[in-house]
Amino acid sequence: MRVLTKILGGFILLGLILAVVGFFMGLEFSSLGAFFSDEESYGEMITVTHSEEINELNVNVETRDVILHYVEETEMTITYYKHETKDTWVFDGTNEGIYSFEQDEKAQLFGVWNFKFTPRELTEVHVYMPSTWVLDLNVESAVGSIKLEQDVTVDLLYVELISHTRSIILENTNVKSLSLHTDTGGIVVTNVVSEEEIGLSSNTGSVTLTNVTGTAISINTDTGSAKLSEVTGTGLIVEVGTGDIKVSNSAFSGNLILDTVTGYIEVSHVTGTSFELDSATGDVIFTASDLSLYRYDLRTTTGDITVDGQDQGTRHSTSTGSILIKVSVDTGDIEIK
Amino acid sequence: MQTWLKELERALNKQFYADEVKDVLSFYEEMINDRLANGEKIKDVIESYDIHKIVKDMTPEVLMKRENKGYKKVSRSTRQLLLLLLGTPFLIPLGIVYISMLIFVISMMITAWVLLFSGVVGFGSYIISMFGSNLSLANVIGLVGFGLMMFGFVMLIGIWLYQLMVIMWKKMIYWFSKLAHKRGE
Repeated sequence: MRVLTKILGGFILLGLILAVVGFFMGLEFSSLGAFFSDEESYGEMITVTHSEEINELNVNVETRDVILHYVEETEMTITYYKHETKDTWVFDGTNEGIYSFEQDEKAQLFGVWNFKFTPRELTEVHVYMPSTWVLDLNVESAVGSIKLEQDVTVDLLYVELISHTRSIILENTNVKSLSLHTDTGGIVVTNVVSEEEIGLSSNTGSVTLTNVTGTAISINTDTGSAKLSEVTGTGLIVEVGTGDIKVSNSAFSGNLILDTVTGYIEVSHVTGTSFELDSATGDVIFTASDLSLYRYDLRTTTGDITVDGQDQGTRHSTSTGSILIKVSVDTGDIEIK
Repeated sequence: MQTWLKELERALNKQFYADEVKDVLSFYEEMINDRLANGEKIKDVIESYDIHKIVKDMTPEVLMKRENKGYKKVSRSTRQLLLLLLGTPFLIPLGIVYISMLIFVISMMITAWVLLFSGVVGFGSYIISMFGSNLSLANVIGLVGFGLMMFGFVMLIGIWLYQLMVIMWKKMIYWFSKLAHKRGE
């Protein structure tokens, strides 16, 4: 083993000498970028168009970010870059009203030892949809993100977006119903109105909702946090494993159930018919402008309960007030203010 | 006495190496002789010893002293220690801790091997792809230099990690044998 260590030490020394020699021979760092880039494996940008109006778009890509745009055009345009050896793209517009496309990447022998980097823009698929098309949208990406960001509000029907390893961003959209899932990335939903339910789930990512309207809203994440602001709905269920839950300036016509194991729960200026807040080890903080509206069923095993600045021990319940706040905490504190 | 010592030797041979057997035998031979010199009868002395118990009781002490040179010896010592820890009710918690630590050590050793394998294959593919490119000679020399340095560092980290885990594995045999020996007392 000592001999091997000495040989490897020799390699390092030889490497250092060669690097210095290369430098004095005129090593150009600018041209090294091209060596480490996989750009050459991709051809020119390919454009695919579809002019017949559709009511369903299905996208399933393996290693691409999918970016959707709404434009003042009459046909749908898809732009992408194809890897010369690895990619297989299939576009299908033969079914009436439905357009689908898929990208598969062929696994290569020793592909895992690839040290070349692909510029981000080459792994993006842009879908430019006419703003007058109202359709069902199903997009799935294995290792890419999914984005629908535009300044003007657009209409869609049933939207289901799945990104396994990256994030989903959805903005300024009116939908019939919404279902978003990520395995490791975050979910960001801003300025979205859904006529029906909204279901968001993530294994390790966080979920952020801002100015969102729906009916029943459910959020489920194992290790990420959930942050909701200016959200309106008929009910809210948030189940989190190890993250925090923060809901503020929101209104619900039904019940709110917020459940986390190790994070804290913070509810600030939120209306609802009842609140059920559950945390094993985190604190629960509930803030409202008029505390006389609420009746309490609060319990903590080892923490403290404070209502409107007054210490209530570890168990506190009242019978007046039309809105029930039920809080159960094991080791955290409960504060109602 | 010789018959009893032969029996003990046979039982010890199944568990320990020859030099270890020799040490244990001479220890008991000396102890029996001392007791005989103190006036005890050979029959009573021999009846006071249980050969299976002797083998079991001596295991932690022998394992503590064993040098564990080579994979076979380490593997045999680990197996014997596991059997001892899991086969003795009051040592079972210690056995569970030992298994947990053993899993960690073996996982890290596998990691070290993966690192070494990845280093070799990665460096190979790096060199192949470099000579397939149209880089200038200066760039090729420079990149080979950087590659060699990285390869050397990765291989050294892999080797050191593996060596560290082997040392830890051997130390664990010593530590847990000592703990078992102390609890047995």
